[in-house]
Amino acid sequence: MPSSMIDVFRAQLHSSIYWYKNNKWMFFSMFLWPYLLVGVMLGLGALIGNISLFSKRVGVVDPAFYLLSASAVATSSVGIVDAVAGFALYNRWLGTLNYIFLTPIREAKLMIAAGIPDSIITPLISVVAVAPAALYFEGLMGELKLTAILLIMYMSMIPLIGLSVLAATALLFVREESNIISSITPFILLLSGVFYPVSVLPKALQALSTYIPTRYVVDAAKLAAKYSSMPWGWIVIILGILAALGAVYNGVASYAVTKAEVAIRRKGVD
Amino acid sequence: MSLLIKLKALIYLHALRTWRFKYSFINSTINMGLWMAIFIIGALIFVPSSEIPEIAPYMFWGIILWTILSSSVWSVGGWAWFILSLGMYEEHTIHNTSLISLLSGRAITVVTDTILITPVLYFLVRKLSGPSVTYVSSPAAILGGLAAMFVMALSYGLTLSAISFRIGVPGTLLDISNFLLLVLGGIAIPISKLPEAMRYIALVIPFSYPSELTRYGATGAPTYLPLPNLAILNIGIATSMLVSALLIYRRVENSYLRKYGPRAIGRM
Repeated sequence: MPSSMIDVFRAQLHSSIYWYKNNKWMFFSMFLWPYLLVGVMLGLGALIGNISLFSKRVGVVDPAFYLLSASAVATSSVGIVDAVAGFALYNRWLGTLNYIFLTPIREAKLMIAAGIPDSIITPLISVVAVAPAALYFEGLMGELKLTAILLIMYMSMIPLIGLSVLAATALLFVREESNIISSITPFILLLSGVFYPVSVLPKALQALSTYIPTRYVVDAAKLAAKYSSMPWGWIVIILGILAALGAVYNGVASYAVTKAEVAIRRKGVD
Repeated sequence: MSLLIKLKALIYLHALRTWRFKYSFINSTINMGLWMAIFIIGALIFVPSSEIPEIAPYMFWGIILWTILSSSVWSVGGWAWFILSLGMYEEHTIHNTSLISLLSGRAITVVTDTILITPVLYFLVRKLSGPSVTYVSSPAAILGGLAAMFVMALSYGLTLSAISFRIGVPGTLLDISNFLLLVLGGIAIPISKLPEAMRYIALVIPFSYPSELTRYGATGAPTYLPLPNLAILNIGIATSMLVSALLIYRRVENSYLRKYGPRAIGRM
C-alpha cells in the first residue's frame, strides 16, 4: 500500500508523543531551557557589566522580554534541526534506516514529513514555556507579540527543514553513524545574533547571516522588544524573505535527496 | 585481568573510536567552540569597552573550565546513550567489563577536546579584548585548578550517568544545572564579585574551588579563601567526588542493572 506524507507525519507524531510520555523529565526540562539561557545571559551580563548597555547596543527597550523570546527561538531552532537531521541519524544508529528507505515513499517527502511533528512541537513548547514571563513583563501585548513570534518561527521552519534535509543527506554519505552535523545549530545561532547585534560579527559572517532563516526570527523578536506594538509592516517583509528562503532551500534539498535516493538504493546505507 | 591490561584496552578502545569517528570528534570540538563564541560575544555586549581587559581573563578561563565540565557530562552521558542504543551494555557485562571502566575512558576524549578548543577560544577572546591582556600569572596554579576541575567534572558526569541508568533518562538531559553553574557556581565570575547571597551558593558548589584556583593562576588576584586552604579543599573535594561516583556506579550496577537490565529499547 503506498504511503503518503500524511501517513509518515502521523506515524512520527505518534512516535514523538510516546517518546515524550516515556521521557517525562526530558519533556519537563524543555520548559526550563529558555529560562536557563536567559538566567545565564542576564546573570552574567548584570554581574560583569550592565543591562542598560546591552539594551542600548542591541537596540531593545525590554531586554528581559527580548532575551526570553530570543532564547525560545534558540531552543526551537535546535529542536527543528535535530528533528529533521536526527531522524536519519537515529535510524542509522538503530539499523532501521535501510528498511525505512524501502518504504514506498520518496526519500525527500519521507525526511520532510518525519521532521515536521517535532518541528511543530518544539517551538510550541518553547513559546508556552516563556508565555508566563511574557505576561509578567508585557501583559497581554506580550502574549500577542509571542504568538506573532511563534507564527514567524513556524514560517522559518520551512527553510530550516530544507537546510536540515540537506545536512541529513550529507550525513548519509559520510561513513560515520554518528552526529557529525550538530555544529550546524550553534553556527546558525551564531550567525543569527541571538544574544547580540549581528553587526559585531566579521563582515563575511554578516553577509552569510542574510541567508540564515533564524536571523529573521531573531530580528522579529528584536522588533517586538523595541516597539510597544507589533510593527506589522516589518513583519510582512520578514515573512516574504522567509518564504523566498524556504523555496530556495527546499528546492535544493529536494534535488539533493532525489540524487541521494538513487545512490542509496544502489549501495544501501553503511 | 590486571589493571595495566584494562588500562591498555581502555586507551586502545577510545583512541580507536576517536580515529574511527574522526568527523564526529572534529564536529564536537567545533560545536563546543561555536556555543562558547555565542555566550562570550553575548556576555561581552554587557561590558563597557574600558572594562573588557579586566573581564577577559575571567571569561577565557571560566569558559575553559566550563568546557571541561560540560564536555565531561556530554561525553560520558552521550557514550552511555550510545552503548545502550547499540545494545553493547549486555555485551560488555557478559565479558565482565564494568560500565564505569568503560565510561571512564571518555576522559581521553574530554582532554583532547579541551586541548583542541583552548587555542581557538584564546584567539577569539584575544581578538575581542586586545593584545595587552595577561592570561597566565602562575602556570602551576592553573594546572592544579584544571586538574581538580577535570576530576570533579568526570565524577559528576559518571554520577549523572549512573542515575540515568537507574531512571532511564539520558544523563545529558539530567544536567540542567550546566548553564547556571557558569554564574552560580562561580566558574566565570570570581566569588568575591558575586552578591553576598550568591557567594554562599557558590561556596556550596564544588566547581567554584578549582575555578578560584585557576583564576588566581591567571591573574594573580587574591582568592576568596586563603590559597593553602583552597588547594587542600580542591584535593579533598575532587577525591571525595571521585570515590562517591565509583560507589554510586557500583551500587547501580550491582543492585539494579545486573538484576533488571538497562531500561532502554533502541532509544533511552
